Amino acid sequence: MTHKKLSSRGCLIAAITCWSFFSFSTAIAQEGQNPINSIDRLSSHVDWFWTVLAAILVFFMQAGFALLESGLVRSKNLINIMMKNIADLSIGTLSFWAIGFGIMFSGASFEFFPNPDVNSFGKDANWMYAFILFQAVFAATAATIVSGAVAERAKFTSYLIISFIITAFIYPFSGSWAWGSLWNGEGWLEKIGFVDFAGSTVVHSVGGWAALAAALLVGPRVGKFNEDGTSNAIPGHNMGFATLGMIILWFGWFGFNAGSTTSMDGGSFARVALVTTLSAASGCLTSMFLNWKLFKYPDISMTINGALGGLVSITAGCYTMTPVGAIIAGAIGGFLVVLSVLLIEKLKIDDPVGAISVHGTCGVWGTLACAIPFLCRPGEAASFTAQITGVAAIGAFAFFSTFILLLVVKKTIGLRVTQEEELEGLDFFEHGGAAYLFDTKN
Amino acid sequence: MKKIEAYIRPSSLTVYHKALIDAGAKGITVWQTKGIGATYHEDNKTVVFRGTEVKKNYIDRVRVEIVVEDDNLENIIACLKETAKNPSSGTLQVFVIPVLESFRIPSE
Repeated sequence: MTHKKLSSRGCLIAAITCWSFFSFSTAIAQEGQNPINSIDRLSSHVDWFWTVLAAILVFFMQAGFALLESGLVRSKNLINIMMKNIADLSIGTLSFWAIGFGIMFSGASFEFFPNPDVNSFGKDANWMYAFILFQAVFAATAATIVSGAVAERAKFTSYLIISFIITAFIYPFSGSWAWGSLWNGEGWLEKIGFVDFAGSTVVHSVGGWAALAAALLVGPRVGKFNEDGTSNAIPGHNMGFATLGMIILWFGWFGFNAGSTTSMDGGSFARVALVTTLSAASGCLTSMFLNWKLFKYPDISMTINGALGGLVSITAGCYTMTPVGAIIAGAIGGFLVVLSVLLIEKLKIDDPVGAISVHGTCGVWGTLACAIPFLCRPGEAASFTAQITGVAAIGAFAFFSTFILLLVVKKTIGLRVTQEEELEGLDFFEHGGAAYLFDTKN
Repeated sequence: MKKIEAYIRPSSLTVYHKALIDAGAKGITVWQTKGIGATYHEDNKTVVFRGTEVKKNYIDRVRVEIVVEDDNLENIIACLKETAKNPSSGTLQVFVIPVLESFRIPSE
């Protein structure tokens, strides 16, 4: 780990240095000989560079989601879950650019199909390109959360519709309440002091609530729950995939949180990056020990969920929390993930990868934690009322809007594959193939 | 002594396992196999991979093997029949084969 971090940091520094030098010399050439002007320009360019770099890191989280989810499903559904991940990434990118961005950030003017060269509302066009890219990868993250919760039984066509609805309408609409003023809009939640720095609520719990609505409507997998009320474990087929997926998500989260500064901002990204990784580590260990204590083994899939729970828990407060606060927030997140997974199972909701617990439960917790003064830097705790209002308003909106829209899909084209298809595996019936072949042309 | 070989759907293994243990099966061996039976229709199992048609020549089945004393044979067969009534189990193919001898060789 240490070696990997050092070398990636080394590359980053080298890249920034080279690029800065190049940009500085061109800036001087453009601006004549005024050094103040040149330094201002250079400083903005470095901010943009950081934003694009962070967007690339967040984009890479898609690889993490794909591996995590495919490891936690059975081998007969591997192609299906991978297809869902690449399809929602592509749908999310296009639909958020075309429709979502206008809803989320352009206030009442609804600038669809944004082209910063034509209209950037007084901001520099190149900055707008960076900003749209950064926001689009966030939207794709919110969309992909749902794929895990409905894995192994949702119809591919219906899933494409879910992705489109979430990235084009649901995520941007509730997102505009909290983040609208980042461009041209104004959100009512930010006005009352709602704090969600990188998206525990705006991104993760929206994904989590949508996942809950989808899982409820799709129903459990065949064989998950018995008639006598007990449930069966359906273990995933490759814990190596799942673990690697979690580590890639953790890696991408440096872009998600530290990148949400979208500027050098006196170097605050360094603090954000540190508290992010501290929270993940403490969430990981808490859920590992809790599972060890409760069920005799340090279970790998629960530990993975714990680390991700820690990451989601710090996402809202990564800018305002202290390192110790982050460790506490992450530990509680890791604790809540385990309890939430057990509770969701008790409620007879089938969530094969724990998406509702990781993103929904910890998203709510992380947002509320921003209002606890001893977790935060002096004077930076948010107001409890604002946090609760934000969690409730965005949560209710995401859950009910997804539920109603999916109900329409269910009544029209159906949400689920047939039982025959589910038992034989979605790979064969939906994608005409198998992930792992043996030489008899099956 | 007889050996029973039953070819079942992979997804119904859990159900059969429980039923067989309850019916007094002393040992169970399972194999992941592929094959086709008399009722297999090739036309229903064609897919297109990168534009080229692929016939699914074999389907996945699990072969369950149980060796039983003659007096327990009917009991086990009845158990398989009973479990097969569940619509999700699907049709199963069963073979009963005589076993000459069975013994264990303990390690020292």
